[in-house]
Amino acid sequence: MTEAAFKGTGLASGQQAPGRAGGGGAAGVMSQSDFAISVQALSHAFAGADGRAAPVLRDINLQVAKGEFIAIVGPSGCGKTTLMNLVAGLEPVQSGMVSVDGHVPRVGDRHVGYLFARDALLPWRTVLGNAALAMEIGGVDKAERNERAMSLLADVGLDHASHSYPAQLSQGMRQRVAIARTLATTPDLLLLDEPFSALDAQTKLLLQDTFARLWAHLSSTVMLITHDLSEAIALADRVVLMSARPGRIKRVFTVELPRPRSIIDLPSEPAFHRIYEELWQELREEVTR
Amino acid sequence: MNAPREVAPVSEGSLLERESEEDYDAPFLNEITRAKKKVRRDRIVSRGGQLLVLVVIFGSWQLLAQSKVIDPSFVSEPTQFFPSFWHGVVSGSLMNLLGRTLFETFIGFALSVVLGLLGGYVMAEFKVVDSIVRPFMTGFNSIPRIALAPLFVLWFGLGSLSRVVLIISLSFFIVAFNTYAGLQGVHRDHLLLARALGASRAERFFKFVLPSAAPAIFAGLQLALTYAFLGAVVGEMLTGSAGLGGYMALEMGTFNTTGFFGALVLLIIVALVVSIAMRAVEHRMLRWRTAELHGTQA
Repeated sequence: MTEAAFKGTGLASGQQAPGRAGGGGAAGVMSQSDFAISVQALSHAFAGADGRAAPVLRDINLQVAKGEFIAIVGPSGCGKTTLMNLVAGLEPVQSGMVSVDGHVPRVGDRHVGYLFARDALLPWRTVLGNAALAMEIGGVDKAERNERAMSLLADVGLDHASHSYPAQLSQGMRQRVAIARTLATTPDLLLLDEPFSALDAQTKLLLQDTFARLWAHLSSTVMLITHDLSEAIALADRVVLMSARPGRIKRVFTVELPRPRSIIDLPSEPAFHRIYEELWQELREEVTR
Repeated sequence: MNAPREVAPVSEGSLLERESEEDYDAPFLNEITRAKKKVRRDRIVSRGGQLLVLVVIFGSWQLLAQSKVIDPSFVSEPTQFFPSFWHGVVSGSLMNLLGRTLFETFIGFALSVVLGLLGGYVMAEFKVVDSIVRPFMTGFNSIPRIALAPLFVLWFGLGSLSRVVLIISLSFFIVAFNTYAGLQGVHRDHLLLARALGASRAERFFKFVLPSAAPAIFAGLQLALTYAFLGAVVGEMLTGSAGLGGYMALEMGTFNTTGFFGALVLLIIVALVVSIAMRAVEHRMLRWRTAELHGTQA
């Protein structure tokens, strides 16, 4: 992984974004297809209980470079998940523009992988069958997908349980299978919606570490939605802080921690704490508003 | 009926964090042996208990009839009707009748399953169809169908066809409603996953929806089979024609309770065997359900 290059583009786009909001023209040096994700002047609203439109997102501008790991944090209800649903194509864009790899986002895109808080493992499939599911639907032939699924299960430490059913696994083990399922198709873009939030503190650390180590071998771009500031800092190249509803991008932090990072040792790094403090101060204003 | 239960070697996340194999295996193996012993003990107790119940029922039946506390011409005697049952089986006279009854049961059941699966699928897939036919289905399903048997005889004759129709009128709805409920019960997370993975319509149905409906469908099949038996036997009784039901009606008509109970014994044994076979198929196909219901067992 060439972090330096990603850092560069990450920084540049981070500073460029607010400028673009006013300008409107997208004819910069880089075109949209150079970014894994490009979001411009995106606003979104839901129909409120009283029938009036309730704004959720306001004028979001965000460019994510290919191979970059971006985390999105913000107070509850700030529209993080809505933003991700728009990038995933699960929700139609109302105003503004979203492009993924230069295209309009399309749900079911084989180049995009998802990981949610709930593992959605199919209870009637064994661990192996679940790990191979995404490849199976992607049309990978049986021998190949089983081999790949087994090697991924070994990576997440579950090869010994390949013939167990999900009901026989702990929550952490289940989420490991979901990680294997998601990474098996080596997606160009990974959309992670609070994937570790349902786990206990220690299991969470272990899984973040597993995920980070596996991601290091991939060239996937990652967009991670999370409530957990430590998680965002530990994993991401940039952390996007959103304001309280309607969500705007309040600030973008670049995480200058070297890679590979050891998630388990990070909390003892002073740099980690500095970023955490800064991030928390800003988030606090939003949470307590 | 319970398959021997074994504790699968995977139960907890703790497995991963153990220092070495030895740490892990020793207490665990003990636990497996203990669990196996308990399973064996439980089984002996339940089989023994079942045998005891049988002995008590038929023993007291025999005693009460023999001592004329109850008139044996009403209830026969186990020492009479068991030989009658056995003779009928060996000589083949009861077996021929049984063949007819089973033939009607299975044809009726098979048609109910095909039509019921189809009906349930169409209702689940096409909301419009569901909204139109549902009140009619519910209405028809609330008719006591046995009461229609004479009508079916009028329309379809005294042969097997009228019984097959009676069975379908009973079993079809059970299969259809269970299939419908099963297909509706698919988890939202699984549908979202299917969408996110870009599953085709067929893949969505066969890999996500249908497997999740399987337990409900199997429950419907089990019940439908019971009703198919009921339909065949009662249908035969009402027309007094061939088959075990017809024979039993005839024996009752001539006040031959021994013949009646002999046939009943055969009927019970066959129904039990078929039901057990069905459950074995279900158990095989839905192994994951056992894992889900009993935690660590597969």
